[in-house]
Amino acid sequence: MSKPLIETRHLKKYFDTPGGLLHAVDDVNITIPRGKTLGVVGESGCGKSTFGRVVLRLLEATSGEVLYDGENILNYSKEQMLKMRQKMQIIFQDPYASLNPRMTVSEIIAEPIRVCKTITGKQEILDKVDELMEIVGLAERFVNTYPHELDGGRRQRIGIARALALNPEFIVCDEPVSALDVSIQAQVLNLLMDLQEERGLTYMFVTHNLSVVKHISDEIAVMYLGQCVERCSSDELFENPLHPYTKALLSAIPEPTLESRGKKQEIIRGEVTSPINPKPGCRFAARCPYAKAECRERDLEFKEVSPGHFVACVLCQ
Amino acid sequence: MDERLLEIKDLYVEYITDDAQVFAVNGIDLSLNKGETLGLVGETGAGKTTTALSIMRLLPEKVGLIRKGTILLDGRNVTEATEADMRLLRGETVSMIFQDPMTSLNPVLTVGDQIAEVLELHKKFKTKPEVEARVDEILKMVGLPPERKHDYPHQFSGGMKQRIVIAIALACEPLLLLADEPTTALDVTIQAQVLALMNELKKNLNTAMILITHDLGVVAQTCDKVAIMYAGEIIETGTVEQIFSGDRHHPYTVGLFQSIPDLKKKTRRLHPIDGLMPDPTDLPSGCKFHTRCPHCMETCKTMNPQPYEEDGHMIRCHLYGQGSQAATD
Repeated sequence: MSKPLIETRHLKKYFDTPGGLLHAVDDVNITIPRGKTLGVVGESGCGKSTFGRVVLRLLEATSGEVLYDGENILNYSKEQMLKMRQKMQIIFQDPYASLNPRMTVSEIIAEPIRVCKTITGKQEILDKVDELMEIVGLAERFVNTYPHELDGGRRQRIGIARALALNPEFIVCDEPVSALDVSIQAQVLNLLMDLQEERGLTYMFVTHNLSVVKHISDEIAVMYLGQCVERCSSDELFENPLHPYTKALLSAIPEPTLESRGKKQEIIRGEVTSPINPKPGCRFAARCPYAKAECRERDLEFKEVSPGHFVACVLCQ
Repeated sequence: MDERLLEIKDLYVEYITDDAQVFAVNGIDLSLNKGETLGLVGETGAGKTTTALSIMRLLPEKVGLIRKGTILLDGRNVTEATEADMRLLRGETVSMIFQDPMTSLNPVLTVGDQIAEVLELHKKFKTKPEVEARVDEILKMVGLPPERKHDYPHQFSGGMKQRIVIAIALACEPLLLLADEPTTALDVTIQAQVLALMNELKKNLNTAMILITHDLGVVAQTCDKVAIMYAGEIIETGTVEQIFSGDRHHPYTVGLFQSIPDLKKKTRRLHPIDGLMPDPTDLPSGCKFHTRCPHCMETCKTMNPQPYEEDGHMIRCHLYGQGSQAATD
C-alpha cells in the first residue's frame, strides 16, 4: 500500500481553562490516502474543528504527531512551515466572517500568492486570479467587488479560490456548506468534487451534516467529545454502524421520504457532557442505552473489528 | 370536524427601505385547520418568516407593510386588529418560536420569570402560588426539572433553551404555533429530541402548527401539509403524500429534492438548480422562477401562471393547467 498523505498518531490538544483541562482532541489516529476524502463528523463541541486546525498547525498540538507524506510536521521550523503551508489549505465555515471586508475579491484571492511569493509580477498575479475565478465559477465582473456585495454561495467560492491559489495537495474543509441554502450547497459540493477529480486533491471534510458527508467522503471518522469512536469506509458506516453513538446519530437524521415517516427513531437522551477533565472510560457511557459498569472503568481500545473498520466500544471488544 | 383556524387570502407584504421597495410576499393563499401541521418550505429570502410575522403582526414598524389581503385567524381579521387586540391574541391564540434560542430569551430574567410573564399578562391565574405551580408543570411538560426555574438562560445548553422557548410559547395553550426554523441551530440528536417533544405536545394540546424550515427531512417527519415558497409566492402546496410522491411537481420542487444528497443511493453528482434566487427588489416578469427553470417556455417570461389544482394539490406552473395537458401527458 502506498504511503498515506496525512497521518495522525495519538494526536492530542488540550486547552487550559479556569475549570481545568479541556480535552478538545484526545488521542485521535487517522490516515488519509492521497486523493481521497476523509469525513469527520460529530456534534458541536466534539472537537472536529479543533482537530482540523491542529492537523494544519493553525493550533499547536499538546502531544502526538502529524505526518505529512511520512514526515512529522510538528517539528518543523517556522521557515519550513511556511513552505509546507503552500501544500495545505483550509476553507472556513462562515463565508461571512472569513473574508476581509476591506479587501476586494481579487486582493483576497491573490493574498496567499503575495505572501508566499509563488508568482511575482503584477500582471501574472492578475492572470492567475482570473484563472482561479474561472475555475470556481465566479464571473469576471466580480473581480473588483467587495465581499459584502456578494451572496453566501459566491463568497464561499471566493474562499475556495483562495484555498486553491497555491495549488495545494491537501485541503481541510471546515463545514464549507453549512451556512448555505440547499440548492447553493449542492452547487458548491459539486464544485469541490470536480476539483478533486481534476487535481487529485486530498480533503479532510469536517461537518455535522451526515448526508453531505456520506455524499463526499471515502472514509468517515465519527468523533465524540474529543475522541474518535468509529472509523470506516463511508458505505460500511451507513450499512453497518457498530458504535451506539453512530447508530443514534444516523437514526436522528430526518429523511425526506414518506417511508421513513412515523418510523420509530432511536432517540438518545441527554446532551454532550463537559469535555473539561473528563472521567476515564467511555465518554458516551452517560447517554448510552447499552452502558455497563465496565464502560466507566477503563479507557477503551480503538479496535479493528473487521478490515478497515475501527470501533471503540465494549460491545465490540 | 375540520374546523378552519387560519385563512390567508391574497396577502401582499412589502418592506419599504430608503433605497428600495422589497416585495417579500406576493399574493399568497394559505389555509390551515385546527390541529394540523403545515410545513412552509423555501430558501433564504423566500418570504417564509415574513408570512409568519404578518400573522403575528410583528413586521418591523414603518418598514414592513401589509399591502393587500386578509388574514383570518379563528374568525378574526388580524390585518385590521388594533395593537391592543393583538396583544391579547399573541400568546393566547397564536404564538411563535424563533429560530435562535440563544437570542430570543431575556438574559437578565430567570427562565421561571419568563414563563410566568406570559401567564400573568394573560391573567390566567389569580394568585402567585397558582402561577408558580403552572410554571413547574410546564417545565416538566417540556422535559426540564422544575428546580431549574431559578436559573438564567446562560446556564442552559442550546437544546434546553429551545425547550424553554417552546414552554413559553405553549404556556397559554395557543390554537396556533408558528415555529420558525426551531431546530436549525441544534445538533441532529438534539433536533430529534426537540421534534419528538413538539410532536407530542401538539398532539396532547391539539395545537395547529406552521413549521417554517428549509429541511425537507424535518417536513417529511412532522407535517401533514406542505407549502413550498419561492420569491414570495407559494408555488406548490398539498399533503405530504402529494408533495413527496407522484410525478407532477413544480420544477422548483423537483430542483430542491435533487439538491439533497440521498442517503440510500450513491450518486456521484448532485443536480442543483442553476443560478440564484431573484433579487426581491427587482423580481422578473411572468413566472418568478423562469430565469432558473429547465422547462422555461415563451409564456413563462411574460405571464404569471395561474394555480392549477387537482385534489387539493396546487401547482403554479404553465406546464400544468389549461391547454398544457397534452404537453405533460
